[in-house]
Amino acid sequence: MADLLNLMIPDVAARSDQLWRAFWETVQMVSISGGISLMLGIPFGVLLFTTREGGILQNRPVNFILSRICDFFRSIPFILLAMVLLTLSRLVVGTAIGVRGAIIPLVFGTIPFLGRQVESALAEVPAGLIEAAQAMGSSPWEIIRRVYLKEAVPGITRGVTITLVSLINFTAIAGTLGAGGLGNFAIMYGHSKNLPQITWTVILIIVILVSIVQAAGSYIAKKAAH
Amino acid sequence: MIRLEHVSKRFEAGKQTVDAVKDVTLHIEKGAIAGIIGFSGAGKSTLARCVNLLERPTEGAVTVGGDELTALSEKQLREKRKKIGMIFQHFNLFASRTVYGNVAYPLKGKSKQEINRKVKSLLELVGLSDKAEAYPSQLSGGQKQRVAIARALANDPEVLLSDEATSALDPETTRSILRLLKEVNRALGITIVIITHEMQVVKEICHQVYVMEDGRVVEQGDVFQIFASPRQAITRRFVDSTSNLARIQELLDDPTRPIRLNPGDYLLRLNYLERSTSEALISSISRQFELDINILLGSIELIDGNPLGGLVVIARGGHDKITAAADYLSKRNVLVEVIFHG
Repeated sequence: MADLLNLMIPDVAARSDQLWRAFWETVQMVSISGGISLMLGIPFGVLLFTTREGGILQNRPVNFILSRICDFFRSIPFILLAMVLLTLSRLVVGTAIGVRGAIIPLVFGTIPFLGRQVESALAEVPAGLIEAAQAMGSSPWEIIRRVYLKEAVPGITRGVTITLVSLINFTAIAGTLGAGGLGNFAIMYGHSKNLPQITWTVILIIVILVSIVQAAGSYIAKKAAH
Repeated sequence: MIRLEHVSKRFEAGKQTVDAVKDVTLHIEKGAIAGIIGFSGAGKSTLARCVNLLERPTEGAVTVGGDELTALSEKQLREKRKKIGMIFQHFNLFASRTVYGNVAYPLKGKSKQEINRKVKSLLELVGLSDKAEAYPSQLSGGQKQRVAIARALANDPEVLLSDEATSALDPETTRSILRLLKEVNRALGITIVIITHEMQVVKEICHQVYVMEDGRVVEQGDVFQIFASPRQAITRRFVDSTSNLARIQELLDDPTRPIRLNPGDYLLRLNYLERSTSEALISSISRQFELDINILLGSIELIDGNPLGGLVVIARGGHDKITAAADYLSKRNVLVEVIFHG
């Protein structure tokens, strides 16, 4: 196997340690910032939706502010957002480089995106179910937990899947700004040293990574839909 | 059990305002099955939602089982709602939960054994014990509504609100759901409020009926009384929609003219108002007033357990004799109506 790779893609085989490390960094960035984004983004999406006009926690000022914050972060191209937030990163986690330095920009880029995804997943829950739950004496909190977040599992799963795919994309961009990971690896060797084998190998790995995330997401969404 | 006093509901959307319910006062007694009937847009669903305050009335007071709902805090109101079950036209079952899970939903907080016992007995009541593990998407419309009824009964409510619960079902299934509601009313003593646009539903199950038009209750009474002698035009239309006798108009309008009237013929509709269906009134007026009577249509129906009969006849024998016969009949509680005279 090693011989075969040596023969076919010698440039990659020669840097397999770096590649492995870069892959691992990407996985770390996606899982850490993905985890944080899920924990914060889902409640954010729930608030975005339930504070809407006619929502169970209808609150115009709160909805207005959350919406504007969301739109603000979503309208900034990620590469610029990341550049700006690296300063914040330095303040909060003490570094602007490496996996640690990338977490804050990634989280800020991902939460608003996931929030909107969750919002639209909740919007698909039929209003009649909410009415039925209210008629049964459920409180708004119970309705969120026992109706919205349960009925919208397929939609939220699809939203999370799309978010993770775009997060993988973001890590590659963050890589170009010194965050490490596969994006950084491809830029450093594939682009700067003009080694197309490296670039293509990284692309292939990312495609496989995205496919796995997508397949898992689709499977869970399908399983959850009755 | 349910008392609405001067209840009004106004919806405002921008500059537009809609008065969906206008100054409705009504009282539904414990253990009754009351129908609220009206065409779409009459305000009946809004009125039903005012009973459990899914819609908070703009004005007026709502009292259920002695508690004035309009005066309760949100938390108290939620507790109270557990005693007011509700079922809907589109069932509103949780797609992500099984039949068991749906019925168990309102029982949150009870012990596992208690929930299990309650869900099992409710599923038995609605005849779906074998479907406990099925998901709503695997059920027929009638089965879904049965699950919804079981769920609505989970907290042993005093009142069950049924908002067009049979409107999405075929006639056969509608009847079976109505039978189930009747059984629930009889066995558990639950007061039921039925919102519908179908007079057939009222006829089959209700004791009292409220007719709504344009946000107001325009006519109310015992169901027998409403069917026997509707006063308002709209009530008449609803009553006729379920009456075999109303078909006479179709027959008269038919271009093939299946009914031909000779000069001097009277086409009469006789409504037997009291329990007079067992007397041989037609024979006696025919003999007494020397009339020829040709019976075109007839019906006897049971309304709230009482027989309500009627006939459509052609009477021949001259104006005076027919008037005298009509007098004779109205003294015996038969309402005579001239549909046409030649």
